[in-house]
Amino acid sequence: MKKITSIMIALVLVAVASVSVFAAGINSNEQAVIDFLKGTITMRDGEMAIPTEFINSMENYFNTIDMTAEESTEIIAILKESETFVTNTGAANIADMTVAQKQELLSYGQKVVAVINMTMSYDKATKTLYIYDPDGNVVFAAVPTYVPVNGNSSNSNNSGNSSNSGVIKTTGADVNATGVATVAGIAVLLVAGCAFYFVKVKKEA
Amino acid sequence: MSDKKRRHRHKNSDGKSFIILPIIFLVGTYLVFYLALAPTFGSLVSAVGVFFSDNDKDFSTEYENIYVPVSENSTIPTIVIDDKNSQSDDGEGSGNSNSKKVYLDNEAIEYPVYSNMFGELIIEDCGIDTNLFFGDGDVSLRNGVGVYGGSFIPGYGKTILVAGHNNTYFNGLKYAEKGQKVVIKTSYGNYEYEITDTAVKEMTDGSAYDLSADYENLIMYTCYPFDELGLTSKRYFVYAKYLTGPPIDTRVKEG
Repeated sequence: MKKITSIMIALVLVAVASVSVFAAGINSNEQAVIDFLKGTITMRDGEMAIPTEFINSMENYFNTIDMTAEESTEIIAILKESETFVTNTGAANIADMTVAQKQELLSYGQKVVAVINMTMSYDKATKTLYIYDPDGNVVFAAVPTYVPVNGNSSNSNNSGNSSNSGVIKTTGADVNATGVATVAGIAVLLVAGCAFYFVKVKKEA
Repeated sequence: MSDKKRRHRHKNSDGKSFIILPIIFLVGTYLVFYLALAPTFGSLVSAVGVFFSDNDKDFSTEYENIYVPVSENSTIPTIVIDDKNSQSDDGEGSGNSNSKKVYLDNEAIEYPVYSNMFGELIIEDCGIDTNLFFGDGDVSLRNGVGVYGGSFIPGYGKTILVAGHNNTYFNGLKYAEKGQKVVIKTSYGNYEYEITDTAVKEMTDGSAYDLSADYENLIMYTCYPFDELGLTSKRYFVYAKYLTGPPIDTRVKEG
């Protein structure tokens, strides 16, 4: 009897575990963060906004998690602090900030994503900001920037504010430019070497 | 040794030097480059790949495949919404307060994450039948075509921006014409779109796409001109309108 019972329990557990339920959709906590991100920020030359594609990326990620009210509140609080900081820098955009200011802004970003167990890093060589999920997968990669607010948009719905930068990728022939340059370099050296050799032989003759 | 023999010997040694010295030079240069570029030796490997690009390479371990084709008999959980602003097939709100529409239950969908292969994209008239990825990074574009992470997935009711290389999976876009059908298959549904327009634009032209659109629309693009080796600033855009496919319930849920 005990064996049958334990088998039954195991079967039930397997059946329950096999039902796929994903942390899908946007809940009100996540929507609150999205709405905040869609707001404007005052910078030196006027109202600026986070590019639409950045917000879309976060919405796509939020579709895979369930943010709690506490997490949402904490994220918005840090975002408000960071916005105050950005305004006080007096910069026209992120690119105009000093290195120290950019470092400070990055630390705000890292605090924000840490609330939902994500991480953020900045690649100086490519000037690209990366956000990773808890498993280390890239969720977002772009050059951080603000864009001027669309003249026709309201404060709470900045439609059409794309950065136009980094959206469209290089989709030409899949060639490793470094590889081609290396081969080309070797070829040039070979030709030069052969030419030198022929000239030398001719002189000696 | 006679002069004749000496000259003959000199010519023979010249002939050997003519062959041996360049070979020595070649090997020596190669070795120098190898030692100097040892940390980036992969570039030489990829250079060889340029000339032998027809070789099939298996990159399937680079990404996670979450795509399970929707079978004819499968039932994906749906809900019926009394949707005053429901999106009709022509992309416009019906404004009919009594319209009910069937939506996919969000809970039943596995949203793809960056670099997931989550579907197929097929344009029969263009000879395109390729893997569809979420994210348009190197891994995605090496193995198929990719949805830009700042756009959305089919069924979401917004812009789907798809990139692909012009010499591989999106080479067939050169045959794109108005009226042709585009099919996107995913684990949660199959979608059909109809090509409405094509255009050549600069890659920095923000008017080529609208990532804030609140209606489902598909934009595919690749480098232009086609078959050109090297970097180009122009892109070939193909625009398609939504025809059929189950919309996803994207209403905000209680937290």
